[in-house]
Amino acid sequence: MKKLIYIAFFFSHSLIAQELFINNEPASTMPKGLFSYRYSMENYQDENILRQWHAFRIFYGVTPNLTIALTGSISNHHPEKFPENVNAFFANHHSPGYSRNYRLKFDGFHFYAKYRVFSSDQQKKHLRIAVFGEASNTMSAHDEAESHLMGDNAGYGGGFIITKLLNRLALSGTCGFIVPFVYLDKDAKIEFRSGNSVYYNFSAGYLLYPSRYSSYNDLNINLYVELNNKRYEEALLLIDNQYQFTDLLPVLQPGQYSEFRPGVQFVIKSRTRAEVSVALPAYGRTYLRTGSVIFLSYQKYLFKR
Amino acid sequence: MHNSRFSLINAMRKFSLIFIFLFFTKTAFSQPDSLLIGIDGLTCSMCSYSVESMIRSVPEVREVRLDLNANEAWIKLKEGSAPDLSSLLKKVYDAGFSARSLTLFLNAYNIEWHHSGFKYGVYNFIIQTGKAPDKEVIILKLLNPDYFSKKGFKRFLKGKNDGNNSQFTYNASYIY
Repeated sequence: MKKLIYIAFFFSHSLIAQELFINNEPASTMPKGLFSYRYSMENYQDENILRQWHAFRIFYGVTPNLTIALTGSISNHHPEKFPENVNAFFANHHSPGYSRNYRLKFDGFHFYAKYRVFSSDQQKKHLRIAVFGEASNTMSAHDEAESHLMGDNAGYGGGFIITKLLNRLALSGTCGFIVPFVYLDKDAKIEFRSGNSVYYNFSAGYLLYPSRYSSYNDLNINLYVELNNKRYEEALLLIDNQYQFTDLLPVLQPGQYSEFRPGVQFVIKSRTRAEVSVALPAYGRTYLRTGSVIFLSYQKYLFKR
Repeated sequence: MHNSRFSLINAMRKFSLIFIFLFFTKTAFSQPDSLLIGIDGLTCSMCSYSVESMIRSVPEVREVRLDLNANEAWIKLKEGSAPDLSSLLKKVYDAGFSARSLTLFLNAYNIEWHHSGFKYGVYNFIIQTGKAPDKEVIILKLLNPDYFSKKGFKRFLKGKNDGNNSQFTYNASYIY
Protein backbone atom coordinates (compact mmCIF):
# COMPACT_ATOMS: atom_id res chain seq x y z
CA MET A 1 0.00 0.00 0.00
CA LYS A 2 2.87 2.33 0.85
CA LYS A 3 4.27 1.65 -2.59
CA LEU A 4 1.02 2.71 -4.17
CA ILE A 5 0.94 5.92 -2.19
CA TYR A 6 4.48 6.72 -3.30
CA ILE A 7 3.53 6.06 -6.93
CA ALA A 8 0.44 8.24 -6.62
CA PHE A 9 2.52 10.98 -5.03
CA PHE A 10 5.04 10.77 -7.87
CA PHE A 11 2.36 11.01 -10.54
CA SER A 12 0.56 13.83 -8.81
CA HIS A 13 3.75 15.90 -8.83
CA SER A 14 5.10 15.00 -12.24
CA LEU A 15 1.95 15.12 -14.28
CA ILE A 16 -0.01 18.22 -15.03
CA ALA A 17 -3.78 18.23 -15.96
CA GLN A 18 -7.05 20.06 -15.71
CA GLU A 19 -9.82 19.36 -13.28
CA LEU A 20 -12.40 17.90 -15.64
CA PHE A 21 -11.46 14.53 -14.22
CA ILE A 22 -12.64 11.50 -16.14
CA ASN A 23 -13.55 9.20 -13.25
CA ASN A 24 -13.91 11.49 -10.25
CA GLU A 25 -15.80 14.73 -9.80
CA PRO A 26 -13.86 17.91 -8.96
CA ALA A 27 -14.87 20.21 -6.10
CA SER A 28 -15.78 22.84 -8.68
CA THR A 29 -19.42 23.08 -9.66
CA MET A 30 -21.32 23.82 -12.86
CA PRO A 31 -22.18 27.42 -13.80
CA LYS A 32 -25.61 28.50 -12.61
CA GLY A 33 -28.39 27.54 -15.02
CA LEU A 34 -26.15 25.45 -17.28
CA PHE A 35 -27.23 22.03 -18.56
CA SER A 36 -24.83 19.37 -19.70
CA TYR A 37 -25.28 15.80 -20.82
CA ARG A 38 -22.81 12.92 -20.85
CA TYR A 39 -22.80 9.52 -22.44
CA SER A 40 -20.41 7.04 -20.80
CA MET A 41 -19.51 3.49 -21.66
CA GLU A 42 -17.47 1.01 -19.62
CA ASN A 43 -16.43 -2.35 -21.05
CA TYR A 44 -14.39 -5.29 -19.86
CA GLN A 45 -13.85 -8.81 -21.01
CA ASP A 46 -15.26 -11.52 -18.75
CA GLU A 47 -13.84 -14.70 -20.28
CA ASN A 48 -15.50 -14.76 -23.71
CA ILE A 49 -18.22 -12.28 -22.77
CA LEU A 50 -17.98 -8.52 -23.28
CA ARG A 51 -19.47 -6.90 -20.20
CA GLN A 52 -20.94 -3.51 -21.01
CA TRP A 53 -22.26 -0.58 -19.04
CA HIS A 54 -23.80 2.41 -20.79
CA ALA A 55 -24.98 5.51 -18.95
CA PHE A 56 -26.66 8.75 -19.89
CA ARG A 57 -26.23 11.56 -17.38
CA ILE A 58 -27.73 15.04 -17.21
CA PHE A 59 -26.03 17.75 -15.12
CA TYR A 60 -27.55 21.05 -14.03
CA GLY A 61 -26.10 24.00 -12.15
CA VAL A 62 -28.87 24.94 -9.71
CA THR A 63 -26.81 27.71 -8.13
CA PRO A 64 -23.14 28.68 -8.60
CA ASN A 65 -22.36 26.32 -5.71
CA LEU A 66 -24.86 23.50 -6.23
CA THR A 67 -24.74 20.98 -9.07
CA ILE A 68 -27.15 18.08 -9.48
CA ALA A 69 -26.93 15.12 -11.84
CA LEU A 70 -29.33 12.34 -12.81
CA THR A 71 -28.05 9.18 -14.46
CA GLY A 72 -29.82 6.26 -16.09
CA SER A 73 -27.81 3.21 -17.04
CA ILE A 74 -28.07 -0.14 -18.77
CA SER A 75 -25.68 -3.08 -18.41
CA ASN A 76 -25.28 -6.82 -18.88
CA HIS A 77 -23.43 -7.29 -15.57
CA HIS A 78 -26.12 -9.12 -13.65
CA PRO A 79 -29.07 -11.45 -14.16
CA GLU A 80 -32.50 -9.96 -13.55
CA LYS A 81 -32.92 -12.33 -10.62
CA PHE A 82 -30.66 -14.75 -8.80
CA PRO A 83 -30.82 -18.26 -10.28
CA GLU A 84 -32.63 -21.05 -8.48
CA ASN A 85 -29.56 -22.74 -7.06
CA VAL A 86 -28.33 -19.62 -5.39
CA ASN A 87 -25.70 -21.27 -3.18
CA ALA A 88 -23.98 -22.76 -6.21
CA PHE A 89 -24.28 -19.40 -7.96
CA PHE A 90 -22.53 -17.52 -5.14
CA ALA A 91 -19.91 -20.24 -4.80
CA ASN A 92 -19.00 -20.43 -8.47
CA HIS A 93 -20.05 -17.19 -10.06
CA HIS A 94 -16.53 -15.82 -10.33
CA SER A 95 -14.87 -19.14 -11.08
CA PRO A 96 -13.39 -19.86 -14.51
CA GLY A 97 -15.92 -21.28 -16.93
CA TYR A 98 -18.93 -20.07 -14.95
CA SER A 99 -19.53 -16.71 -16.66
CA ARG A 100 -22.99 -16.33 -18.15
CA ASN A 101 -24.10 -13.94 -20.81
CA TYR A 102 -26.94 -11.77 -19.53
CA ARG A 103 -28.99 -9.51 -21.72
CA LEU A 104 -28.59 -5.74 -21.53
CA LYS A 105 -31.17 -4.41 -19.12
CA PHE A 106 -32.03 -1.11 -17.48
CA ASP A 107 -30.23 -0.81 -14.12
CA GLY A 108 -32.07 2.15 -12.63
CA PHE A 109 -31.45 5.78 -11.78
CA HIS A 110 -28.69 7.44 -9.85
CA PHE A 111 -29.00 10.91 -8.33
CA TYR A 112 -26.01 13.02 -7.35
CA ALA A 113 -25.79 16.46 -5.71
CA LYS A 114 -22.61 18.40 -4.99
CA TYR A 115 -22.34 21.60 -2.97
CA ARG A 116 -19.23 23.76 -3.01
CA VAL A 117 -18.63 24.93 0.56
CA PHE A 118 -15.29 26.69 0.19
CA SER A 119 -13.50 28.58 -2.58
CA SER A 120 -10.25 30.47 -2.58
CA ASP A 121 -9.58 31.81 -6.06
CA GLN A 122 -6.47 33.48 -7.41
CA GLN A 123 -5.30 34.17 -10.93
CA LYS A 124 -5.10 30.73 -12.62
CA LYS A 125 -5.28 29.03 -9.22
CA HIS A 126 -7.87 27.92 -6.77
CA LEU A 127 -8.52 25.72 -3.77
CA ARG A 128 -12.03 24.39 -3.45
CA ILE A 129 -13.90 22.04 -1.14
CA ALA A 130 -17.25 20.45 -1.85
CA VAL A 131 -19.54 17.96 -0.13
CA PHE A 132 -21.72 15.55 -2.05
CA GLY A 133 -24.54 13.08 -1.59
CA GLU A 134 -25.81 10.39 -3.92
CA ALA A 135 -28.60 7.83 -4.07
CA SER A 136 -29.56 5.03 -6.41
CA ASN A 137 -32.67 2.93 -6.94
CA THR A 138 -30.86 0.22 -8.89
CA MET A 139 -32.26 -3.19 -8.09
CA SER A 140 -29.97 -5.56 -9.93
CA ALA A 141 -29.23 -9.04 -8.64
CA HIS A 142 -25.82 -7.82 -7.56
CA ASP A 143 -23.95 -10.68 -5.94
CA GLU A 144 -20.79 -9.19 -4.43
CA ALA A 145 -19.73 -7.78 -1.09
CA GLU A 146 -18.48 -4.62 -2.75
CA SER A 147 -21.23 -2.03 -2.99
CA HIS A 148 -21.44 0.27 -5.99
CA LEU A 149 -24.26 2.73 -6.61
CA MET A 150 -23.88 3.28 -10.34
CA GLY A 151 -25.67 0.30 -11.83
CA ASP A 152 -25.21 -2.33 -9.10
CA ASN A 153 -26.80 -1.46 -5.76
CA ALA A 154 -29.67 0.62 -4.50
CA GLY A 155 -28.52 2.77 -1.61
CA TYR A 156 -27.06 6.08 -0.66
CA GLY A 157 -23.69 7.65 -0.04
CA GLY A 158 -21.82 10.85 0.50
CA GLY A 159 -18.44 12.42 1.00
CA PHE A 160 -16.24 15.38 0.30
CA ILE A 161 -13.86 16.57 -2.40
CA ILE A 162 -10.84 18.84 -2.18
CA THR A 163 -9.44 20.22 -5.44
CA LYS A 164 -6.38 22.38 -6.01
CA LEU A 165 -5.73 24.07 -9.35
CA LEU A 166 -2.22 25.35 -10.01
CA ASN A 167 -2.02 26.87 -13.46
CA ARG A 168 -2.02 23.84 -15.78
CA LEU A 169 -2.02 21.26 -13.01
CA ALA A 170 -5.05 20.11 -11.05
CA LEU A 171 -4.97 17.81 -8.03
CA SER A 172 -7.98 16.41 -6.26
CA GLY A 173 -8.93 14.04 -3.48
CA THR A 174 -12.33 12.42 -2.97
CA CYS A 175 -13.35 10.59 0.18
CA GLY A 176 -16.75 8.94 0.44
CA PHE A 177 -18.93 6.13 1.74
CA ILE A 178 -21.67 3.89 0.36
CA VAL A 179 -24.53 2.33 2.31
CA PRO A 180 -26.37 -0.22 0.12
CA PHE A 181 -29.99 -1.25 0.58
CA VAL A 182 -31.19 -4.85 0.80
CA TYR A 183 -31.99 -6.64 -2.44
CA LEU A 184 -35.14 -8.66 -1.86
CA ASP A 185 -36.44 -11.46 -4.08
CA LYS A 186 -39.72 -12.42 -2.44
CA ASP A 187 -40.43 -15.34 -4.77
CA ALA A 188 -37.10 -17.03 -4.15
CA LYS A 189 -37.09 -15.81 -0.53
CA ILE A 190 -33.64 -14.30 -0.93
CA GLU A 191 -32.38 -11.27 0.92
CA PHE A 192 -29.01 -9.98 -0.08
CA ARG A 193 -27.12 -6.95 1.09
CA SER A 194 -23.67 -5.90 -0.08
CA GLY A 195 -21.33 -4.51 2.55
CA ASN A 196 -20.87 -0.83 3.36
CA SER A 197 -17.94 0.73 1.50
CA VAL A 198 -15.55 3.59 1.98
CA TYR A 199 -13.37 4.94 -0.80
CA TYR A 200 -10.59 7.47 -1.15
CA ASN A 201 -9.60 8.49 -4.64
CA PHE A 202 -6.84 10.77 -5.92
CA SER A 203 -6.84 12.52 -9.26
CA ALA A 204 -4.22 14.53 -11.11
CA GLY A 205 -4.60 16.22 -14.45
CA TYR A 206 -2.48 18.36 -16.74
CA LEU A 207 -3.40 20.69 -19.56
CA LEU A 208 -0.94 19.42 -22.16
CA TYR A 209 -2.08 21.41 -25.16
CA PRO A 210 -2.30 24.21 -26.10
CA SER A 211 0.49 25.95 -24.27
CA ARG A 212 -1.17 29.23 -25.20
CA TYR A 213 -4.73 29.82 -26.33
CA SER A 214 -5.56 31.58 -29.59
CA SER A 215 -9.33 31.04 -29.54
CA TYR A 216 -12.14 28.98 -28.08
CA ASN A 217 -11.75 26.63 -31.03
CA ASP A 218 -8.34 25.45 -29.87
CA LEU A 219 -8.34 21.74 -29.14
CA ASN A 220 -7.46 21.10 -25.49
CA ILE A 221 -5.63 17.90 -24.63
CA ASN A 222 -5.65 16.97 -20.96
CA LEU A 223 -3.79 14.06 -19.41
CA TYR A 224 -5.06 12.38 -16.28
CA VAL A 225 -4.06 9.76 -13.81
CA GLU A 226 -6.46 8.73 -11.08
CA LEU A 227 -5.96 6.28 -8.24
CA ASN A 228 -9.16 4.75 -6.91
CA ASN A 229 -9.15 2.88 -3.60
CA LYS A 230 -12.06 1.15 -1.94
CA ARG A 231 -12.59 -0.90 1.19
CA TYR A 232 -15.81 -2.90 1.61
CA GLU A 233 -17.42 -4.92 4.36
CA GLU A 234 -18.84 -8.43 4.34
CA ALA A 235 -22.11 -9.12 2.52
CA LEU A 236 -25.23 -10.50 4.19
CA LEU A 237 -27.18 -13.35 2.61
CA LEU A 238 -30.45 -14.82 3.87
CA ILE A 239 -32.28 -17.62 2.10
CA ASP A 240 -35.73 -18.44 3.38
CA ASN A 241 -34.95 -16.21 6.36
CA GLN A 242 -31.93 -18.35 7.22
CA TYR A 243 -28.59 -16.65 7.63
CA GLN A 244 -26.05 -18.12 5.24
CA PHE A 245 -22.47 -18.48 6.37
CA THR A 246 -20.38 -16.68 3.81
CA ASP A 247 -16.93 -17.55 5.13
CA LEU A 248 -16.22 -19.91 2.26
CA LEU A 249 -17.50 -17.55 -0.41
CA PRO A 250 -14.72 -15.08 -1.27
CA VAL A 251 -17.08 -12.92 -3.30
CA LEU A 252 -19.05 -12.15 -0.13
CA GLN A 253 -16.06 -11.49 2.10
CA PRO A 254 -14.74 -8.05 3.06
CA GLY A 255 -11.92 -6.71 0.96
CA GLN A 256 -10.14 -3.77 -0.53
CA TYR A 257 -8.52 -2.84 -3.79
CA SER A 258 -6.74 -0.05 -5.62
CA GLU A 259 -6.66 0.67 -9.31
CA PHE A 260 -4.90 3.18 -11.54
CA ARG A 261 -6.92 4.96 -14.15
CA PRO A 262 -4.77 6.80 -16.66
CA GLY A 263 -6.69 8.68 -19.32
CA VAL A 264 -6.65 11.33 -22.00
CA GLN A 265 -9.29 13.95 -22.70
CA PHE A 266 -9.99 16.15 -25.69
CA VAL A 267 -11.96 19.37 -25.18
CA ILE A 268 -13.41 20.46 -28.51
CA LYS A 269 -14.40 24.07 -29.18
CA SER A 270 -14.56 24.69 -25.41
CA ARG A 271 -17.99 23.05 -25.29
CA THR A 272 -17.50 19.33 -25.73
CA ARG A 273 -15.25 16.78 -24.05
CA ALA A 274 -14.39 13.32 -25.28
CA GLU A 275 -12.24 11.06 -23.14
CA VAL A 276 -10.91 7.60 -22.71
CA SER A 277 -9.39 5.96 -19.66
CA VAL A 278 -8.33 2.50 -18.61
CA ALA A 279 -8.68 0.96 -15.15
CA LEU A 280 -5.63 -1.11 -14.27
CA PRO A 281 -5.79 -3.27 -11.11
CA ALA A 282 -2.99 -2.35 -8.73
CA TYR A 283 -3.73 -3.93 -5.36
CA GLY A 284 -6.30 -6.28 -3.88
CA ARG A 285 -9.29 -7.43 -5.85
CA THR A 286 -12.60 -6.07 -7.01
CA TYR A 287 -15.24 -8.58 -7.98
CA LEU A 288 -17.22 -5.90 -9.77
CA ARG A 289 -15.06 -6.32 -12.86
CA THR A 290 -12.49 -8.71 -14.21
CA GLY A 291 -9.12 -7.48 -15.38
CA SER A 292 -8.67 -4.15 -17.08
CA VAL A 293 -11.57 -1.90 -17.91
CA ILE A 294 -11.89 0.61 -20.73
CA PHE A 295 -13.97 3.70 -20.15
CA LEU A 296 -15.20 6.07 -22.88
CA SER A 297 -17.17 9.23 -22.37
CA TYR A 298 -18.60 12.11 -24.38
CA GLN A 299 -19.97 15.23 -22.70
CA LYS A 300 -21.60 18.30 -24.16
CA TYR A 301 -22.12 21.59 -22.28
CA LEU A 302 -25.19 23.50 -23.44
CA PHE A 303 -23.96 27.08 -23.11
CA LYS A 304 -26.39 29.83 -23.98
CA ARG A 305 -25.33 31.69 -27.09
CA MET B 1 -21.07 32.31 0.20
CA HIS B 2 -21.34 34.51 -2.84
CA ASN B 3 -24.97 35.38 -2.19
CA SER B 4 -24.07 36.69 1.21
CA ARG B 5 -21.33 38.69 -0.42
CA PHE B 6 -23.80 40.46 -2.66
CA SER B 7 -26.41 40.98 0.02
CA LEU B 8 -23.61 42.61 1.97
CA ILE B 9 -23.01 44.94 -0.95
CA ASN B 10 -26.67 45.92 -0.94
CA ALA B 11 -26.51 46.58 2.78
CA MET B 12 -23.49 48.75 2.26
CA ARG B 13 -25.08 50.88 -0.40
CA LYS B 14 -26.16 53.65 1.94
CA PHE B 15 -23.53 53.59 4.59
CA SER B 16 -20.21 52.59 3.30
CA LEU B 17 -17.43 54.04 1.29
CA ILE B 18 -15.88 52.12 -1.51
CA PHE B 19 -12.42 53.14 -2.53
CA ILE B 20 -11.76 53.63 -6.15
CA PHE B 21 -8.69 54.71 -7.95
CA LEU B 22 -9.21 57.21 -10.69
CA PHE B 23 -6.81 57.98 -13.43
CA PHE B 24 -7.31 59.86 -16.60
CA THR B 25 -5.92 59.50 -20.04
CA LYS B 26 -5.90 61.29 -23.34
CA THR B 27 -5.85 58.08 -25.29
CA ALA B 28 -8.56 58.13 -27.89
CA PHE B 29 -11.22 55.59 -26.97
CA SER B 30 -14.14 54.60 -29.06
CA GLN B 31 -17.62 55.01 -27.79
CA PRO B 32 -19.50 53.66 -25.97
CA ASP B 33 -18.27 52.85 -22.47
CA SER B 34 -16.32 49.67 -21.81
CA LEU B 35 -15.32 47.50 -18.86
CA LEU B 36 -12.50 45.16 -18.08
CA ILE B 37 -13.04 42.43 -15.48
CA GLY B 38 -10.11 40.36 -14.21
CA ILE B 39 -11.22 36.83 -13.36
CA ASP B 40 -9.63 34.45 -10.85
CA GLY B 41 -9.80 30.70 -10.42
CA LEU B 42 -9.74 29.45 -14.01
CA THR B 43 -7.29 28.32 -16.66
CA CYS B 44 -9.15 26.31 -19.27
CA SER B 45 -11.00 27.69 -22.29
CA MET B 46 -14.21 25.90 -21.32
CA CYS B 47 -14.26 27.78 -18.01
CA SER B 48 -13.64 31.05 -19.84
CA TYR B 49 -16.44 30.27 -22.24
CA SER B 50 -18.87 29.78 -19.35
CA VAL B 51 -17.90 33.19 -17.91
CA GLU B 52 -18.31 34.85 -21.30
CA SER B 53 -21.73 33.27 -21.79
CA MET B 54 -22.86 34.51 -18.40
CA ILE B 55 -21.67 38.09 -18.96
CA ARG B 56 -23.28 38.16 -22.39
CA SER B 57 -26.68 37.63 -20.75
CA VAL B 58 -26.54 41.07 -19.07
CA PRO B 59 -28.90 43.35 -21.05
CA GLU B 60 -26.53 46.34 -21.07
CA VAL B 61 -23.71 44.31 -22.60
CA ARG B 62 -23.21 44.67 -26.35
CA GLU B 63 -20.11 42.54 -26.80
CA VAL B 64 -17.79 40.39 -24.66
CA ARG B 65 -14.36 39.09 -25.52
CA LEU B 66 -12.42 37.07 -22.99
CA ASP B 67 -8.64 37.00 -23.10
CA LEU B 68 -8.08 33.27 -22.57
CA ASN B 69 -4.47 33.67 -21.46
CA ALA B 70 -4.79 36.71 -19.18
CA ASN B 71 -8.28 35.68 -17.94
CA GLU B 72 -9.73 39.15 -18.48
CA ALA B 73 -13.14 39.93 -19.93
CA TRP B 74 -13.34 42.97 -22.22
CA ILE B 75 -16.91 44.18 -22.27
CA LYS B 76 -18.42 46.79 -24.58
CA LEU B 77 -21.60 48.31 -23.30
CA LYS B 78 -24.61 49.38 -25.30
CA GLU B 79 -24.64 53.08 -26.00
CA GLY B 80 -26.11 55.13 -23.19
CA SER B 81 -26.33 52.18 -20.82
CA ALA B 82 -24.80 51.91 -17.37
CA PRO B 83 -25.06 48.45 -15.84
CA ASP B 84 -25.44 47.60 -12.19
CA LEU B 85 -21.83 46.72 -11.46
CA SER B 86 -22.62 44.28 -8.67
CA SER B 87 -25.00 42.29 -10.89
CA LEU B 88 -22.37 42.24 -13.61
CA LEU B 89 -19.77 40.86 -11.22
CA LYS B 90 -22.30 38.38 -9.92
CA LYS B 91 -22.32 36.80 -13.37
CA VAL B 92 -18.67 35.88 -12.84
CA TYR B 93 -19.60 34.20 -9.55
CA ASP B 94 -22.58 32.49 -11.20
CA ALA B 95 -20.15 30.91 -13.64
CA GLY B 96 -18.26 29.52 -10.64
CA PHE B 97 -15.31 31.93 -10.48
CA SER B 98 -14.20 35.14 -8.77
CA ALA B 99 -13.54 38.67 -9.98
CA ARG B 100 -10.21 40.20 -9.01
CA SER B 101 -10.62 43.65 -10.58
CA LEU B 102 -13.04 45.86 -12.42
CA THR B 103 -11.96 48.74 -14.61
CA LEU B 104 -14.38 51.14 -16.28
CA PHE B 105 -13.46 53.10 -19.38
CA LEU B 106 -15.94 55.95 -19.48
CA ASN B 107 -16.39 58.43 -22.24
CA ALA B 108 -16.23 61.84 -20.56
CA TYR B 109 -19.05 63.14 -22.76
CA ASN B 110 -21.41 60.48 -21.40
CA ILE B 111 -20.84 61.56 -17.82
CA GLU B 112 -23.03 63.89 -15.88
CA TRP B 113 -20.64 66.17 -13.99
CA HIS B 114 -21.37 68.01 -10.77
CA HIS B 115 -19.34 70.14 -8.42
CA SER B 116 -17.59 67.32 -6.58
CA GLY B 117 -17.54 64.50 -9.08
CA PHE B 118 -19.85 62.86 -11.55
CA LYS B 119 -22.81 60.59 -11.90
CA TYR B 120 -22.69 57.35 -13.85
CA GLY B 121 -25.89 55.34 -13.96
CA VAL B 122 -27.03 54.79 -10.41
CA TYR B 123 -23.55 55.56 -9.07
CA ASN B 124 -22.37 58.89 -7.83
CA PHE B 125 -18.58 59.21 -7.79
CA ILE B 126 -16.96 61.90 -5.71
CA ILE B 127 -13.48 63.01 -6.69
CA GLN B 128 -11.61 64.12 -3.63
CA THR B 129 -9.63 66.73 -5.55
CA GLY B 130 -12.98 68.24 -6.50
CA LYS B 131 -11.84 69.00 -10.03
CA ALA B 132 -13.34 67.58 -13.18
CA PRO B 133 -10.55 66.20 -15.36
CA ASP B 134 -10.13 67.61 -18.82
CA LYS B 135 -9.85 64.25 -20.52
CA GLU B 136 -11.78 62.31 -23.13
CA VAL B 137 -11.77 59.02 -21.30
CA ILE B 138 -11.96 58.42 -17.58
CA ILE B 139 -10.57 55.15 -16.36
CA LEU B 140 -11.93 53.97 -13.04
CA LYS B 141 -10.19 51.11 -11.37
CA LEU B 142 -12.77 50.03 -8.87
CA LEU B 143 -11.73 47.98 -5.94
CA ASN B 144 -13.64 46.79 -2.97
CA PRO B 145 -12.93 43.87 -0.68
CA ASP B 146 -16.56 42.82 -0.89
CA TYR B 147 -16.51 42.68 -4.66
CA PHE B 148 -13.21 40.89 -5.04
CA SER B 149 -11.18 38.17 -3.44
CA LYS B 150 -9.28 39.15 -0.30
CA LYS B 151 -5.97 38.18 -1.85
CA GLY B 152 -6.66 40.24 -4.95
CA PHE B 153 -7.52 43.22 -2.77
CA LYS B 154 -4.33 42.83 -0.73
CA ARG B 155 -2.26 42.52 -3.89
CA PHE B 156 -3.74 45.74 -5.17
CA LEU B 157 -3.05 47.59 -1.91
CA LYS B 158 0.55 46.44 -2.07
CA GLY B 159 0.80 47.91 -5.56
CA LYS B 160 1.33 44.54 -7.21
CA ASN B 161 -1.82 44.62 -9.24
CA ASP B 162 -0.62 46.14 -12.48
CA GLY B 163 1.94 48.77 -11.52
CA ASN B 164 0.17 51.22 -13.76
CA ASN B 165 -1.98 53.21 -11.40
CA SER B 166 0.42 55.59 -9.73
CA GLN B 167 0.65 58.51 -12.11
CA PHE B 168 -2.95 59.63 -12.21
CA THR B 169 -4.36 57.94 -9.18
CA TYR B 170 -6.87 59.59 -6.93
CA ASN B 171 -8.60 58.25 -3.92
CA ALA B 172 -12.28 58.80 -4.18
CA SER B 173 -15.37 57.78 -2.38
CA TYR B 174 -18.54 56.71 -4.06
CA ILE B 175 -22.08 56.87 -2.85
CA TYR B 176 -25.36 55.65 -4.25
